Amino acid sequence: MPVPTAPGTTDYEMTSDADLQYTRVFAAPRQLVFDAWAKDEHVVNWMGMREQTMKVPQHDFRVGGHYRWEWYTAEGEHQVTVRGEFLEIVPNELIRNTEIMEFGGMVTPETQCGLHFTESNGLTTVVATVHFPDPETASAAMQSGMQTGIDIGFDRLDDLLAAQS
Amino acid sequence: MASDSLSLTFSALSDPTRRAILARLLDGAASVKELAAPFAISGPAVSKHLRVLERAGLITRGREAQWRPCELDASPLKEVARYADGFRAHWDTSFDRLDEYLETLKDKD
Repeated sequence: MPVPTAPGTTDYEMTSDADLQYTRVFAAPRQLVFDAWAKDEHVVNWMGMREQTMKVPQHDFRVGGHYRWEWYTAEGEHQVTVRGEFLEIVPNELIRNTEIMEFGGMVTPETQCGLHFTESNGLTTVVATVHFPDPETASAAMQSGMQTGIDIGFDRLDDLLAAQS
Repeated sequence: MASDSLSLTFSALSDPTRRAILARLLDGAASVKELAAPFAISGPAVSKHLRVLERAGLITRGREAQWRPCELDASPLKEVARYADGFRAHWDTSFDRLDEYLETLKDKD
């Protein structure tokens, strides 16, 4: 499987019916990469789309602490909230947390997420894992949506949605 | 039982027969009999799948007593597409930005 060994690309892979894994390599020391997630003053500087504004009303980075990340359009309209609880923290090595997404009136099922940081030759590899509550959610959300397009093909779906709206 | 509409959609999409039914309906409305034809399952079994799809808002049933054609309503699929596409777009972009941000942090050290 094509796991990246150099910066610049992200690999997405279903490792089981209910588990998504994505991997990215960064050209920076592990502590710096870990801090980018651990400290809210860093998080707001990179997470999310470029045109969005990120707000972090809550980022209680300790086991049992909660976080709440919100993204807004340039016009100040709320787009997405990601919230959850930190379950396990090993400095510079591991973050485990729960995650619920809210967008457009939808609330996603709660997932269990992990971030694993390793460093080798000055490169830091981050392996992110997402465990879905059930295989149905995972396969519908990710396998179909991300990889095969629900057997239907999103091109045709786009056409259909355009015709229906 | 899934209560929010996105979970309901995910759950309805989790079955290959139901996905095949939706794919068939992309070509236009069809009767239960027409939908059942490609599958080695009974009419009642197909009707059960249709009820799940109807509850998830993915299909609508016609009012004609005899024929009751099934029609696709693709709007819930759009939410699924937004979720999956959004997830990937979010992390692809965020990681590109993190590459740049880490460079600025390294410069400060």
